[in-house]
Amino acid sequence: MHEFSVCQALLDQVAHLVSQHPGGRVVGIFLINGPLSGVDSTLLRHAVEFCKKDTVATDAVLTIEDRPLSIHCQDCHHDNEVPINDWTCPHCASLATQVIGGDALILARLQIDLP
Amino acid sequence: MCEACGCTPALSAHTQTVEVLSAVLSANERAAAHNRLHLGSHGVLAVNLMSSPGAGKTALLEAVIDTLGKKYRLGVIEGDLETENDALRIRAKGIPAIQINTGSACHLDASLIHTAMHQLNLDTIDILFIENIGNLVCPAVYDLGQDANVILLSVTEGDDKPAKYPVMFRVADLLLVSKTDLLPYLDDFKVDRAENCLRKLANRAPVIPLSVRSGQGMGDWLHWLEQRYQAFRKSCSQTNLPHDHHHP
Ligand SMILES: Nc1nc2c(ncn2[C@@H]2O[C@H](COP(=O)(O)OP(=O)(O)OP(=O)(O)O)[C@@H](O)[C@H]2O)c(=O)[nH]1
Ligand SMILES: [Mg+2]
Ligand SMILES: [Zn+2]
Ligand SMILES: [Zn+2]
Repeated sequence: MHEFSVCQALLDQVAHLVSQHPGGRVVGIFLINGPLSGVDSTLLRHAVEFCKKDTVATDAVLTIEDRPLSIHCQDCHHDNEVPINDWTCPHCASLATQVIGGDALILARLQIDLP
Repeated sequence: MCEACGCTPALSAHTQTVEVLSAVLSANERAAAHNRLHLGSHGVLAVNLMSSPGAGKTALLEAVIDTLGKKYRLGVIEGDLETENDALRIRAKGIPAIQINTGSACHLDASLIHTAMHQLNLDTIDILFIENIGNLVCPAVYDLGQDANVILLSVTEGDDKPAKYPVMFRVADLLLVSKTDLLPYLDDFKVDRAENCLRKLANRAPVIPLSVRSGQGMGDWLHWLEQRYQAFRKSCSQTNLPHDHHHP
């Protein structure tokens, strides 16, 4: 369970970004998550609710979009969604596949209210 | 987006949308890149050992020290929630060991490693082992600046662990199936099944069954380690990394 340290990293990054907009107030935080990020969206939501008080994000609404795991096949060049523990290409059964989405937690964008 | 219906409410005239698109853990990634530069400039191969608690990481390090301790200059960074026990075990063999206690944090991160690295004299180390916190999820999420991830899976844990913990096992550069001396007592663990689970994560890393008790697999593991060291040293001399010591 490391969602609290992830949350801290998120709030640090948000604070840094909003500091470039003097007087700005963060009203929206948009994240993209995937099943292989190692970060649980629900736990992270709780952690942010808990930690955001008294930070620049105290009024921010957090939105987390959960994307599926997707792979690119190096043999047939198709892209597909796959289950988290079987990355066999559903098209040609190759295992020469590489993850192209769903393996990271990304800060997509912020909404900042300016004075 | 409105959580209830998915609509996008009109923003106030003063609301600005800032596109970011960066990893939430990007600060750790920068710190890891810095560590990698350090290690490369000193020609130190860093190996990150990960497993669930008690899979045999420290016992493996003790065995490595006994066999390679004269040939290579070794160093160890020990991560544990509490206690200095593992570092004491390593120091008892005359090898420098820095203990990091994370308290409640279930993983090491790049800045902890950076601090520990600066307590070691990297000029006197060839191979630096980082024993991560026993945990099959969190450590995999934090790059430390290592060259290789070695994951131990002990035969008492069940052979389907790679399927249950893909976040961890996908990053393995080597999978050691540990405590194989216990296989006679565990009729349902099949090394092949563990390997199949790993292959389904599109991971072609070698799988070595190993026991520090019987000595099985030790030769293959040490061979892998020496090969990795040679390859790493070759890549260091080719890139000839400058050592600009900028601290973020
Ligand atoms: N039978 C057998 N026992 C082993 C082997 N390797 C380690 N052990 C035992 O497993 C237990 C845990 O070993 P450690 O080396 O302390 O494991 P660890 O992964 O460092 O544990 P943590 O640092 O607490 O996560 C000890 O009792 C070891 O003696 C092995 O190859 N065979
Ligand atoms: Mg240990
Ligand atoms: Zn294919
Ligand atoms: Zn430094």
